[in-house]
Formats: sequence, C-alpha cells, structure tokens
Amino acid sequence: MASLVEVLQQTVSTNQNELTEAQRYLEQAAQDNLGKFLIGLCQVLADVSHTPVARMAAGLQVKNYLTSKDSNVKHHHQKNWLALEENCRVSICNLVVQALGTEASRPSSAAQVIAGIACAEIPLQQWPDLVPKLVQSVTNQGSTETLKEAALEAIGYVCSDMEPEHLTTYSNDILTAIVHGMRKDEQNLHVKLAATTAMLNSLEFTKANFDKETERNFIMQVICEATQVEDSKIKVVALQCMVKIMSLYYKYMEAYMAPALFAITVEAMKSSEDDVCLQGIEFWSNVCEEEMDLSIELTEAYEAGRPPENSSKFYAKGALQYLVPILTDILARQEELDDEDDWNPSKAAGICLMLLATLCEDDVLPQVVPFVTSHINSTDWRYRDAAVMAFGSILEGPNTEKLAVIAEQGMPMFILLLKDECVVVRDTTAWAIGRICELIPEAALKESFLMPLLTAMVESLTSEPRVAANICWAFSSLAESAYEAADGDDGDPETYCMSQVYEKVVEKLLQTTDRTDGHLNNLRSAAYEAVMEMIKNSPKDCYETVLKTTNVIMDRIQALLMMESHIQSSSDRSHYNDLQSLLCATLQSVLRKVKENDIANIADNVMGALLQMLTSSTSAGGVQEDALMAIGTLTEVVGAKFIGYMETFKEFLTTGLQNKAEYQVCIAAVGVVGDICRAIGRQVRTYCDDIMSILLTNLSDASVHRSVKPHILSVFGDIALAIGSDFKTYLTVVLQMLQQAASAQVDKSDYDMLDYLNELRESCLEAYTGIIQGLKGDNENEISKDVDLVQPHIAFILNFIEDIARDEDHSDGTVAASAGLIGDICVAFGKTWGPDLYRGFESKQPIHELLTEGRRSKTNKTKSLAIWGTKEIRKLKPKA
Amino acid sequence: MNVIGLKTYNHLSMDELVENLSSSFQVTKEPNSIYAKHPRFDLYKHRTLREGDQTVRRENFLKLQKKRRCDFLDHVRCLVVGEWKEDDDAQDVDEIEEQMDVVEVKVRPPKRYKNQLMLSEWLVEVPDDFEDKWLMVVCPVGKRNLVVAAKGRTRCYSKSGYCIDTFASALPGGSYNNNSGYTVLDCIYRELDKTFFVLDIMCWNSHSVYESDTEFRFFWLQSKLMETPELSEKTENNFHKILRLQNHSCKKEGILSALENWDAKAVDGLLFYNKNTHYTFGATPLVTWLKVPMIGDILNIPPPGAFVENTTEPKMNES
Repeated sequence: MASLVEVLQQTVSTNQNELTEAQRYLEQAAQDNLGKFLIGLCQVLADVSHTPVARMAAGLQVKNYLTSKDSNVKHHHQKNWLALEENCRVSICNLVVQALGTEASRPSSAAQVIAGIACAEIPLQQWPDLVPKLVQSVTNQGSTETLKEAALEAIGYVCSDMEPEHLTTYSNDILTAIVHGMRKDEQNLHVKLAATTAMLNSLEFTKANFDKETERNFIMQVICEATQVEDSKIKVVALQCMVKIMSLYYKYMEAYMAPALFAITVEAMKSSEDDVCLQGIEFWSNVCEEEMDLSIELTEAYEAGRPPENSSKFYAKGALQYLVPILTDILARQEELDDEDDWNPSKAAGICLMLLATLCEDDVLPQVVPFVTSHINSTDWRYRDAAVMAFGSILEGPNTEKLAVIAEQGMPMFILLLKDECVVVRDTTAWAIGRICELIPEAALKESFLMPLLTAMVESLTSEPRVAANICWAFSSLAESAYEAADGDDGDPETYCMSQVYEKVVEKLLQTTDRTDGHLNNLRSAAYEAVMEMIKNSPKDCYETVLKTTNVIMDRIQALLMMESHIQSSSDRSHYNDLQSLLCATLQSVLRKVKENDIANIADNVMGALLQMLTSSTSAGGVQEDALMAIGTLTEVVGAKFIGYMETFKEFLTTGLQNKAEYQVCIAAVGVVGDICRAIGRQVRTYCDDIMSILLTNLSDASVHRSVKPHILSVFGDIALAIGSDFKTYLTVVLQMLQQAASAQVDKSDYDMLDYLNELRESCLEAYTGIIQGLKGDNENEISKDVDLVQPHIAFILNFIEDIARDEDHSDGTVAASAGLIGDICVAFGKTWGPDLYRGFESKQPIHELLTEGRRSKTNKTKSLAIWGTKEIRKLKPKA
Repeated sequence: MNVIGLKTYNHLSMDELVENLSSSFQVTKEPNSIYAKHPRFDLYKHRTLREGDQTVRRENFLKLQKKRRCDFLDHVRCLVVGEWKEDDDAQDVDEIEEQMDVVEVKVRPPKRYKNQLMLSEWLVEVPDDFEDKWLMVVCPVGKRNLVVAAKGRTRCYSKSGYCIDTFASALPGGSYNNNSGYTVLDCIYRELDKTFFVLDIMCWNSHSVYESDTEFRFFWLQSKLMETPELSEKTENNFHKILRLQNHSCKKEGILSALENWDAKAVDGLLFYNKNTHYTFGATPLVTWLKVPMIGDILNIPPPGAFVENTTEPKMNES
C-alpha cells in the first residue's frame, strides 16, 4: 500500500495508469475522512524532508478542498471545512503556518492554502491571530527571506480573494507589512515582488489610510520607488498600482502628478519592454476615462443647479503635448504577424489616442496632424500604417469642420493606400475610410473623390477578409450618410450621389456575401449588413435594383432551404443558421422598401419561405427569432390581407409562444401577436382563445424568463383593442394578472432591476389603456357599457399611477404611458363618473407632479400625451 | 461531487505544476493576466454595430414595434403628436390649450383619423332657404371612409379611425411614383365593385380646402377628378376606382331627376349640404340626411315607386 507521499509523487507521472490510480486513492481518502486526509497532506507540506514535487502536490490537493473558481463549489467546500472538528482545523492551520517559509519552490503552496482557509474563517471572525502572525513574519528582524516572501504572498492572496469589508479592521497591519516589504532598502527582489503584488490587491480596502495625508504620502512614495527598480516584473506591478490608484483616488493625485506620476509614467511609455510600456499607456487611458466621467458629472450638476462632487484637473490636457509624440511612435511598433487576439503596445497606443481625442477635442489636432502628413508617404510600412491609424483614431472629438478639411486633403492618399503592398496598411486604411464615412461624411461624399473612392472600395471587396470586412462596414456608413445628404422632404429622395453606381455596388456586395472565406473576420455578416443599409437608404431612382435584390434574396432563401437535408456537421449547421438569419434580416429591409403591388406578387412566397424556416430550424433560436421578426414586418406591409395566412401560421405562432427555452423567440412571437392584431383587427378573435390561454399560462409559469412578461402584458392591450367587447371573456383573469404585476417590487440598488421595473410598469399601463379603449368601443357618441366592468379597478389603477409618480426612478416612458392612460380614463368614464373621478385626481398631488414633469419632457410624445391628459382632467371639472 | 479535477501531466516539468497551481487561483503568476481578454480590446479598430448584429436588429425591431403600438393608440385617441420647440415650457393649461388649437389648424396631413369626417343630422325641420342655399348628393350604399393619400401610400380609415386598407392610387401622394403632396377625401366605399365614391374633398395635393365653402369644394372636386382620369380606372397604380358623386339642386325637379339615374337598391339615402358650410368635424346641422322614402313627409316630394318598395327601418347615421 503506497504511502501518501508516494501517491502524491505519482500525481505527476507520465504513466496514465499510475495517474488514475493516484487520483482514485486521493479521492477515496478524502471521502473516508476529510479531516484526517487534510492533516496528512499538511504534514507532507510542512515536512522539509520531502521532495518539492510532493509538497507542492500536497498543497494543491488541500487547496482544491478549500476553494474553487465556481462560487457554488467554493461555498460547498467552505461549509465542509467549517464542519470539521476544531482541533483538526487548528492542527491544519498550525502545520500550514509552520510550512510557510520552508518551501523550496515558488510560488508558495502554503500561502495559497492559508488564503483558502482564511477566506472561510475570517468572515466569521475566526482565526483572528492569522493576520497579525503574517505581519509579524514580515516585519520581524529575524525572519528569513523565504518566510517574508511567503508571508507576503499569503497576504496578497488573502487581499485579493476576500471581500474587502472583512479586512478593513486589519488594514493598518497589512499595510505595515506591505510597505515594509516594498521599502527601498529591501534588497531581496522576490520579497519586494510579493509585497508589491500584495499592495495591488489591497488598494480597495485601504481607503481609510488613503484619506490620511501622511499615510497616503508614504504609500505613494513607496510605490514610486518601486517603479524605479531594475527588475521589470516589480516595475510592472508597481505601475499597475499607480493605474489603479489613479482610478480609485483621483481627487488626491494633484500633489503627486507633477513631481512624480507624470515623469514615471512617461518614462514607462518609452520603455522597450512591452509590459512596462503597456502600463504607462494604460495609466493615461485611465486618466482620460476618469476625466471624461468628471466632465459628464459637471454637465449633470450644472443642469441640476448644484456644484459637482468632484472636478477634473485636466491632467490629460496638460500632458497632451508630451504624450502624443510618444504614442504615435509606439503606433509604429506593430507586430508583423499580428495574432488578432493579442494585445500589444501599438494597439494600446491607438486606443489611448482615441480617448485623448474624445477628451481634448481640437487640442489634439496640432499634435497629431503633422505626424500624419509627414509619415503617410513613408517608405517604411510601419510608419505608413501608424499615420493612417493616428488619423483614424482622432476622428471623434475634434470639430468636424476642421477634420473635414484635413480629411479632404488626405483622401487621394487614402484611396491609393487601399492598394498598398502591405496588408496591414490596407486593413487600417479600410477601417479609417469607414470612420470617415461615418463621422465626417462630407469628406467622403465630396464629388471630386466619390467615384474614385467607390471604385477603389469596390475593388477592395475582393481583398483579404479583414480588409473586405472593413470596406463593407465603410459601405454601410456611406449608404447612411449619402441618403441623409440627399434632398428628402418627407419620403425617399428622388436620387442621390451614388445612384449611377448603385446597381454595381449592390451586385458586388452580394458577390462578397458569397465568398467561401466569408466566415473569417465576420465578413459575410458585414457584407449582408452593407446590402441592408444600401437598401434601407435607397432613393427612388434605385428602386429597380431594390426589386431585383428582393428576387435574389428570395432565390437564395429558397436555395438554402433545399440544402437543409444535406447538412452534416454541427459547424456546417452553425454556418447555415447564421446565413438564414442574415437572409431573413435582409428580407426585412427589403419588405419595408418595396411597393404595395410588388409585395402582393411575392407575399405568398415570402410567407411560405419563412414558415419553412420556422419548421426546419428546430434548435436554432436565432433563426426562428429572425423569421418571426420578418413575419412581423410582413404583417405591417400586407395589412388586413394577412388574414389569409393565419390558418397556416397559427401552429407556428403557438410553437413560438410556448418556447420557454429560448425566451427571445418567445418575445418575438408575442410581438407578432400584437402586429397581427393591428393588421387584421377584429378577425383575430377566432384565434384568441388559444393565444390567450398560452399567454396566461406563461405569465404564471416561473420558469419563463422574466423579460417575457412585459411583452405579454402589452400585447393584452393590443388584443383588447382589436377585439373590443369580446375581450370581456378574459377580463377578470387579465385584470388579476395586471394587479399582481403592477404591485411588483424590486431591489432598488440593482440598475438592471430598475430598468425592468419601469418596463413592467409601462407594459401594465399599455394593457390598461388597450382594455379601456377596446371595451369603450369606437363609437364616439356613445361609450359602451362594457367598459363599466373596469370601473371597480379604477381606484387601484389611480393608486398605481400615484406609485409610479412617487418613484424617483421612473422612466420617461412610464410618464408618457401614465399620461395617456389618465386621458383614456377621463374619456371613458367622464360622462358617468366625472365628478368622482375629478376628485380622485385632485386628491393625488403626485399625479399632478407627474403630468407637470410630462409637459416639460424633452420627448415630443411624452409632452403631447401629458398636455392631453391634463386637458382631459380639466374637462371633468364640475361646472360651478 | 468529485472536484479534484487533476490535470494530466505530459511532462515531469515543475513549471507545469507551478503553472497549474497558480492558474487555478485568483492571483496569477503573471502580472498582466494572460487568461483574460484585455478590457480595452474591443475598442481596437472599433466599428459601429448595425443590423448585421442580431442584438442591434432585435433592439431596432422592438423599437419599431413599440412605435407602431403608440401610433395606433394615438390614432384611437385622436391625438395630434405636435412638434414642440425646445423652449416650450408651458405651465398654464389654458396656454397649452391655445397652443394645441393652433397646432390643430396647421396645414399638415392629419395624424389622427378618428373624427375627421363631417357627419350629418336627420333633416327634421326644412330650412327656409332649402331650395336656394343647399345642395343634394345621392349617397350610395356602402361604408363611410376617410381616404388619405400621403408618402406614397393611400390609406382608408373607418369613422373610428381604424386603418382598413392600404393601396396605391392616382391621388396626389397616393402611390410610389406619385408620392409628393397629400390628399384627403371623404368617401363611400362600395364592397361590391370595390369602388370609392367621393362625397367631399378636404385636401388635394397639399392644398387644403377645409376652410372653403361647400359650393367651392364641390366645384373644385369636380375639376380635380376630371383632371385625373386615371382615377376612374382600376390599374396597377390605381388599385380602386375613385368616382365622383354628382351634386344636385335641392329643388323638387333636381332631386327627382337625380334619383332617376340610380338603382333603388344601391341608394342608402340623400345628403343635403348647406352651400356655405366649411368642412367641419363631427355632426353638424349644416349637413342633413334623409332616407328616400321620407322625402314625401319631410319635403313634400313623392318618392319614386322603386324606392318605396324597399322600406327599411331608418337608422341614425348609418354611414
């Protein structure tokens, strides 16, 4: 029978049998008696006579029973640990602490085990002497270097894994140890690194120390000194500390920026070591983000008429002239064989420039433009690429007119660079052109450049996928900009600047979608997107092409549907589904553009194809969603004629409505119900029983994703509006559901839940509106008696609106919907119940405030509804 | 639960062991964690997402759907969603009401379709100037529709403002080829031959005549319809025939000769318009209505025999 040590050795064996055997042994031992097992392991860990491999393997084993990346598993482990007898735990703790500083390998396993135990015990106020012990190990004169290092490591792990609130009592002690390990005269680099890492991890909970000037000064000094150490690992971690402090404690940095931080970070940016350089850049990117947030805070405070809590010190602006030359040079440090997922200084520099441009606006121009003009013709591809990248990075922020002038000057060059011999340059140029098309369209659309540009762009569509994808995106931006620039009035313009080449461009884009390498760099999806944008933004004289494209898309959809049975592998299926989705999406854009008569010809085919898609793609939620959205669009276009499809469509609708697993599909189906109601009106009655039954079931089913709920409630309103008095059948149960939903509460500290609550409330309001409007009937001379069925609920509804009014986080949408509902109630019940209703409103001051807020809203719709609602209440005022 | 998850070691290398030890803990050996994508990575060569991305598609679609719902509700409420200037911060509701009235008179295509029709009242008391100051229109059996041509589409709405159908027509603004300007007509739609009969005109090619008197409107309607013969034929660009209804004098001879041209079964009743009335909304005593059999009692004009045979219960505001 093997000893524990032998088994542990076996865990690194190359022999598969030995390995499995070892695994089994260990699992068994753990199951038999966890406490004994762990003690045994820790004994091995603490025993210097064993091999490093055995000791490390022992440590790993123990660690795996204390913690895990999965928080559920971790919780489970911690429970088991705490369930062990106290003596057992004490023994283990002692052994592990004993092991600290005695290990021959790095990193210290004992340190990790200690951290694992600490995370379970310290939150429960157990093991109170651990931290003091660790601190002592660091500061004690007699401690060995290894002990100091291991203790600091342990401190580092504890800081990073524990929730900050449990450590605030220890923060002074911990900082003492850390600073001791980081101080200038600490010679041992391993100790210093461990200390600096621990510092990085402690920054969140040492706020109290940062608030005190003397302590803060000391901490900053120690960190700055650490950045000057030769060893680059320590340098990098020290810089990371600086970056983090900049974000956490911006308001305190003034004292340190000029004397230290500026010089240190600029120095770092100039370093030839990538890791160091990246930290320097990251520091300034961070400063930009902080100062952008502060600028927003300033605007908000100004609008609210109060001073802001914090203000920007404009560090970035001040440092701009020093930063830009360094950054532009770093841009030219590209990797030749760039692995797209890699992060490197060149990419980081581009982003930092982008952030600086957004923040400092026009001020970046005199810094960057000279670089661009002088290097764009460089013989070195790196500098050509850097020049284009620099230009593309500053297009957001500075004044567009100024940028347009520069862009126009550079256009001929950019067009040439699309054919540059180096693919990196072509890629960056394609991207930059896309940015110009989107952000400074006047430069791209300028008559003298437009045709040469379009020609070059079209040619580049056959280039490498990465380049072609960027070109497709440029086409999307260009389509939008060209349309907006044309003379429109209230509909499509007659023509626009791309009309002559429109057909060719669309043809080429469609060819691009067909490329066999289309799955690379998202090329296919970019190409279809470009087609969609071209269609959406087309003028009247391009209609013929739009119509032809409709047929092409329909042909492709049919062809694809026929291929379905040939699909073998799952990656093929995944491509197939993506393609179907893209075709559906393109179909939608086409349906919105094509004339009535032309739709009439193809509507049957379209519907048939979409239904087939819903049949075949049993597992692809994305495709089903897109197909349902396309059907929604179709209902809008064919209107009342949609009734002809209902018999065949209803089973697909039902399936969609019942799709709990893929809630986005469910939501799309619910939405289609609403569209159908608006299209065919009262005729939807035939299908209502089935639809309502499913919707009501979904509402009561807790396993249905909560985001479906608001959509269902809104659609009740749509149905009520369509079928009018026939909605009485469902009224009782629907009103019950609405009452429940309207009474919902959420955790206010969660922003997502706040949004959800607003959405839910708005949907309740829409439902009430639809029901009241539907039941009151459409005879303007007579309010149907059916609506009286709702009267007993009016008191509740008014309270609901009052609750919304009182909630300071209510959205503009709920204000609008509330105002609309108020108006509807007044109209429906004004004649029979006017005075009581008027009194009801008058007694609720919050509702008046809500309407006032609505009348002042920046949204047209909210304003109109609020004014209307106010008017309607006024009409109820009893004549004196 | 087996959570050991021992990795398979292919090498005896200590580095591997170390790697494993540190990779399964939060603080990694490497200062710049290579296990996570850099948080700023997505900004590199950033492209704005459009409809090629499903999330964007979904959001845009939901927004459009919401807008459809809201627009529909606005129609049902007969609300004009006005254009307000930035500094409109009206507090006094009276002020607001004034503003709203001003907006209502603005010459724009009506965004509300309910209560846009001028409706008649029963002719009970014959006014003194009946024969001189009133015009008669024979109203065919059918559904009263508001026909609005704008932005390349022609839509017909029921009295309640519900959009019944969308199609192309030769009215100015009513089809893709002819999509500028807008036109609003008061019609009767006859299902039998899918034809619209025009009772009255409110707007033609963006020229509004709400404020003009009936005599002028009828004259103008006649000339516009004659200028646009395409309207009387069903074609690709004019999906429904749109025909004129003649107006007649209210003298006895005028009424009787008008009825001669009509098949009794096709006539719903007679509308009488005061020549001076503008086009107003809702019921008005300046437009009155009689069923043909009633002209005997009320106007002292004996109805032609064919009309008396089909006596139906008189209904209020049937169309």
